[in-house]
Amino acid sequence: MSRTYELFIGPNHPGIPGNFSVKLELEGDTVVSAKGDPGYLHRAFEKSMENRYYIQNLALIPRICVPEPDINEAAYAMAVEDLMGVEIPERAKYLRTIVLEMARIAAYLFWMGGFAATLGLYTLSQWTVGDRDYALDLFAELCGVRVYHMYIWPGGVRRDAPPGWEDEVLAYVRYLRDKLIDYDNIFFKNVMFKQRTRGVAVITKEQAIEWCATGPILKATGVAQDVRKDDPYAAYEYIDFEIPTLTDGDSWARAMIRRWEFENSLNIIEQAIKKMPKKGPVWTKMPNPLKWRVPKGEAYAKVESARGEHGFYMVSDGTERPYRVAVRGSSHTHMFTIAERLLVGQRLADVSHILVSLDICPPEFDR
Amino acid sequence: MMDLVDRIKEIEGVKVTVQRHNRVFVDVDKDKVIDTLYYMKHVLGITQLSFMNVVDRIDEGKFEIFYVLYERESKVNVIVRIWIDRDNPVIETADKIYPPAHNWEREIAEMFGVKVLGNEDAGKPFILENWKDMPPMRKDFDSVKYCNEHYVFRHSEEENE
Repeated sequence: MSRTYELFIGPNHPGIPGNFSVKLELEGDTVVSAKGDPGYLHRAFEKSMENRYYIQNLALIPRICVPEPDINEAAYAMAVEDLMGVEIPERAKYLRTIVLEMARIAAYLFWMGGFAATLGLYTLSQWTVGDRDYALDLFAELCGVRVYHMYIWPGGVRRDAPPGWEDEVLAYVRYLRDKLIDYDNIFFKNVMFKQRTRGVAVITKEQAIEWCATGPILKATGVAQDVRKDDPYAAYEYIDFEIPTLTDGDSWARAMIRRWEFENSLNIIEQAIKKMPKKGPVWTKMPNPLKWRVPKGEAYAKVESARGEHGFYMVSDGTERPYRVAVRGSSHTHMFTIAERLLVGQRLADVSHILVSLDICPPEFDR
Repeated sequence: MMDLVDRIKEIEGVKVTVQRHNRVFVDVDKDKVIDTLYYMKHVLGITQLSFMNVVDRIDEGKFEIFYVLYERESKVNVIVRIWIDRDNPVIETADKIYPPAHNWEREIAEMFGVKVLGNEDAGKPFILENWKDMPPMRKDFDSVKYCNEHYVFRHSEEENE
């Protein structure tokens, strides 16, 4: 007689980070095997991009990642710029940096709420989701939309920031700095959080490298790897910041790395606003959008998302539509290579927070 | 970076193109790709496979398979490319060298119909469910035609009346 049973976590489960499912085989409350089950969110982005003009795709790509859409815009724009040999203006580099860091902050606020909720602490969820909304208001002021911004374009950014916007962003940064003390007191210094996560789902440095982890998962094992430092884009080469690392490699360490990254982003925004040229163009003039012909070639452009390396592999055949755009989301590797191995031997009650500690974002494999 | 490029050039039969700072394309023969990847990882110490996917070169009757690797020391992306026959698309698995290749191969098997030798999961349903048509990411798959044949279009204005 079999001693195991199957249990689906997701797609409709409060403990699953998005529209996907993990099929668990359990014995008692111990996981014997875990298999990711994607496909619930596939919207054929890559196929659709082949049939649209370069500029039309700008409306499509932010939708690949709801919590952090701007990474797609940036990587797409950088791939086009790579193929066209376009250099973007200085002010546009800083505006991109500010937008990307604000998106990272918004993504981490979402993540903090989700992570705390998997441990039963819903207060932080209410706070962080509410505080994220202020970031969306600032985006709306910048480009007219809250979630899918379509702001970072090949050649720079779509338009300059409205007067006073930078001061509002700085006020938001100060507000979040104060709120971070509250987040620390209620959650990151909370004994319950530490007891539930310390020593759980440990990934060693060797495993992280072998499994090709990136982002906070890799940093939590002691490897200081970050695209913003290693292959600087936007204005990151002018910004002074450290890559946080820990060596514990457990669920706690991954959470703490994200908390420090959040603080890092606040510092980066402040520096970027201070160093940004006060005037100047924000867009290098590009051809008529319906007649953009990107030179024939292949390019791989990558950025550091809140979850790790996020890349676009673009192939142009010299026409006005991309021949192929392939999207590399870090969650593909983090789910199917890491989570499926990591969940084995864990207890059912820990499955949700382990998945959220890996920050799995389903559209990164359903694309 | 040039040290790494020089060492890659020592591999027999490869064509190396330095596209720009931090991007190196390496074209190899399809029969030598596994040896090349093994060399990249275990001799050159390139431990990260960031990405792997396919470009359908329908006019040439080929599939281009690319492996995006990342070398931490010199901070270079090495992109290994092979071309295989579109009529008989077969590759060998790279999952013994780079574990994430296992699941990228599952995706390309499903989306492009590439057969992956040595990967028992490639060919089983992954993202698609009950898919009976040709692999959908192939260039000759007509997504508009497929939608017209399989989905009922709702005319909301008429329905509202």
